[in-house]
Amino acid sequence: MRRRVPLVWKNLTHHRQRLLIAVCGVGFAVVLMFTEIGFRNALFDSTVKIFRDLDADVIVASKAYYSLISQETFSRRRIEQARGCPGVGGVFPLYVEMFGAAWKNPDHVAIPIRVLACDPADPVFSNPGIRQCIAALSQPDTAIVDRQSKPKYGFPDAPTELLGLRGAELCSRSVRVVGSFAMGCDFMIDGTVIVSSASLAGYRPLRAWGKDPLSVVDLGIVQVVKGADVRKVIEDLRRILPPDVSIDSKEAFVAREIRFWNDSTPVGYVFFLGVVIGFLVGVVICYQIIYADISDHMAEFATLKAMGYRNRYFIGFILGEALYLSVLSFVPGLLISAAIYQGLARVTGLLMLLTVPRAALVFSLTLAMCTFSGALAMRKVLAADPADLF
Amino acid sequence: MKTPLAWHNLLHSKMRTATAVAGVTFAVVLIFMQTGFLGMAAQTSGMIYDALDFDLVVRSRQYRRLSDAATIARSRLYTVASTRGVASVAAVHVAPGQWRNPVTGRKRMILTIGVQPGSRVFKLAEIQHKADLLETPEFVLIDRKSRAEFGPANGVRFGNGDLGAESEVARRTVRIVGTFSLGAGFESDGAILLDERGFLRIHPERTSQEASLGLIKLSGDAQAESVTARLQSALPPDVQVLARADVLGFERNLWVREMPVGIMFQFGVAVALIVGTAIVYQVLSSDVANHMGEYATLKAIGYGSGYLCSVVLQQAIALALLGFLPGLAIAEALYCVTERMTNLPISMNAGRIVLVLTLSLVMCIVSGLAAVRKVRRADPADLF
Repeated sequence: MRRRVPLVWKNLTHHRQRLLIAVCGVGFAVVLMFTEIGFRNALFDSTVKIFRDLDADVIVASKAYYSLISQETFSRRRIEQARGCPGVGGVFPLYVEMFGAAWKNPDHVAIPIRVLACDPADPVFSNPGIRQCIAALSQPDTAIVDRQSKPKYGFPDAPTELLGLRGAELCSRSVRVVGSFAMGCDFMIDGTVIVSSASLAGYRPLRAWGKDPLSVVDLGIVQVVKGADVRKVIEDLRRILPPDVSIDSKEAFVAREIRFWNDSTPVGYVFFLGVVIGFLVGVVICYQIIYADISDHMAEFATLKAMGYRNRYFIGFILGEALYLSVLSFVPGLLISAAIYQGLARVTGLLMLLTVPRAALVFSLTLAMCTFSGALAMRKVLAADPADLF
Repeated sequence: MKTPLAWHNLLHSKMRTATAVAGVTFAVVLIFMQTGFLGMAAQTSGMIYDALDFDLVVRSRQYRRLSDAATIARSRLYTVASTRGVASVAAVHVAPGQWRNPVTGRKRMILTIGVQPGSRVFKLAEIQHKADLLETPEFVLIDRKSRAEFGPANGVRFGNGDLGAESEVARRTVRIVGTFSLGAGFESDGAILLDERGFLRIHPERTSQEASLGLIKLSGDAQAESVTARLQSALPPDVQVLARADVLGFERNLWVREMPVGIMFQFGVAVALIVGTAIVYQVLSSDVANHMGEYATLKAIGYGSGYLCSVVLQQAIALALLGFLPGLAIAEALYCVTERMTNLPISMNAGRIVLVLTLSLVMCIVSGLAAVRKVRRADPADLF
C-alpha cells in the first residue's frame, strides 16, 4: 500500500504561529461554551443536590408543593398511612426549614441557615458524610453542619476545631456541633445544618402554628422493599393517601425542581440565553478561523485541483482539518474550564460539575462548529479554478 | 488625494471583510449581553428601596435582604421619632408569602409589603394614591410587573381586568383592589401591597409590636450624618441606621458581589472580555496575513513601514466600527427579548455603549499593532 502524505497535518503545522492562534481562538470558544453551560448547570445541580443526598425511591410532599422554596407542609398522619402500603419498606418524615432559622457563632451575627431534621435512627440520607455522623444527633441540642456552607457562618475548617466550637446558637438557643458533612450551597441557600427532629421541636416550637411542631412534615422519604416495582408503589400510594399530598419518584421531584427554576425564574432564562450566545459566538469564531485558513491555502488547493485531485479529496481534507482543530483546541479549553469551574465553586459554594456527558456535549458542539464552518468555507475551494492561479 | 488604501483593502474581498466584521460583531454582542446581565442584577437590586421615600433607614442588624429582613421592636421607632432632627418615622413590614394563582390555583412566593394606613412612604404618586384604597385587611394592590405565573386574568400581566379578583395569601382570602408599578428582581418576581392589619392577617407570626424597616424622614435643616450618629448612640446595638445611599449601596453590593447570581454574571463579563479580545485578535491577524503580499509590494515600491502601519490601524478601526454598529443593534434586540422573557429591566445605557465601543476600539488597535509587527518584517524579496 502506498503511504499517503498527511497533508492535513502538514498544512496545520506548517505555520506554527498561525496554528497557535487558531487553537487559541477555538479554545476560547470551548471555554466560553463550558462556562455558560456550567453556570446553567450550577443553578440546577446545586438546587437539587439535597435530593441527591436523600436515600429515597419515592417522595411524598404537599399537594401545593412546587419547589423546595414553596415551604408547603403536610400532616404527619400521611407518613403513618403510607407505611401500610404494600411494597413500602420504610417511610420517614424529613423536616426542612428553608428560611425560618438562624445560626449564630459567638463572634458573628445571626445568619439565616437551612435546617434539615429527621430522627437520627431513620436512614433518610444517602450522603456518606451524613450517614457517618448522624447517630451523634441522638444527644439533645446537637447539630451536624455542612462544611461547604459560606464562610460567613464562621464554621472552622478543621474538623477538630469544628467539634470544639463553643457558644454557637441556633434560633437563639445553644447548640453543640457533633459532626460535619459536605452538601453545598445553591442560589437561595448559603448553608445547611442537620438536627434531630426532637431538637427541631425545641428550636422551632411554632412551626406548626401552635400545634405539635412535628405534626407537619415537609418531605416524606419512602423506600420500597427490594424487588418491588417503584411505579406500582407510587400508584398504590396515590390511591391510598388522600389527595392533599403529591407522590412521585425522586427523579420526578428533581425534574420538577429543575423545571421550576428553568421555566419560571429569570435566572433560568438568563443562563439559557448565555448558553445560546456562547454557542453562536463559538460558531462564528470557528468559521472565521477555518475560512481564513482555507483562503490562505487557495493557491495550494488550486494546484492540487490542477494536478487532478477530485472534490471528494478536498471534502475529506476539510473534515480532517476540522477534526484536528477541534481536538487540539478542546484539550486546553477543557483544562482551562476545569480550573474556572474549581475557582467558581470555591467562590460561590455552588456545585460546578464537569461530567463526561457534558464534556462530550461541548466536544461534539466544537466538532460540529468546525465541520460546519469548514463545509461553508469549502464551497470556495470547490469553485476554485486552477486556471485563475497561473 | 491619496488612495484610501485601507478602505479599498476592506472592499476588495467583501466576503472576507464580512466574516471579519461578523467576528467583531459577535464579540461585541457577547460583551453587551454579559455586561447587560450584570447591570440587570445591579439595577434591580435597589428597585423597591428606590420607590420608597426616606432619608435614613433603621433596621435589624440581622437584616440579610429585603425578603429576609428580620424585625425590630416597634419601640425602637418611638426612640427614633423622639430624636432631634427626625421629622417622621414610618414602620414598613416586608416578608415573603405564598400567593395562590387565582386562575390555576398554583402557589408561588410573592413579596408582601405592609404599610401603616395614612403613612407617606412611597415616592411614586401612583402607589401613594392607591394605598388609600386599602380600606380593609382583605384588600391588596398587586404589582403590574409581577410575572404571569401569579395568574393575571388576561394571562399576561395584571391590570384593570383583575380588579375585584379573589385570591389567597398564606391560605387567607384577599381581594385585588388596584395595581401599581414597582418592578421585579432576582429576589422576588412579584409584590403585593397591604395595609398593616392586612399584612399581620396573612403573617400571623408577626405582631404589631415589630416592624421590618423604619423609614425616617429628616426635618428640613437636619444633617443626615449628625442624626445618624445621634440615632446610633440612642439605639441599642440590635438595630442599625443607614443613609439612603448606603442602603442602595448595600443591596447593590449584595446582588452584584455576594449572591451567586452576581458572581456568575461578573465571571460572565470577564470571560466575555477575554473571548472578545481573542476573536478580534484572530480576525485582525488573519486579515494582515492575507494582505502580506500587497504590503510587501508596497514596501518594494518604496512606502515606509509607518505608512503600512497606519493602513493596518485604519483597517482595524474600520473593522471595529463596522462590527460595533450591528453588534449594538443585535444586543438591543436581545435586550428586548430578555426583558420580555424575564420581566426584569435590562437596558442599554450611554455608559455601557461608550465602554463597549472603547473596548472594541482598544481590542482592534492592540490586535492590529500586534499584527503590524509582521508587516514591518515583510521582506519584498520574499514575495517574488
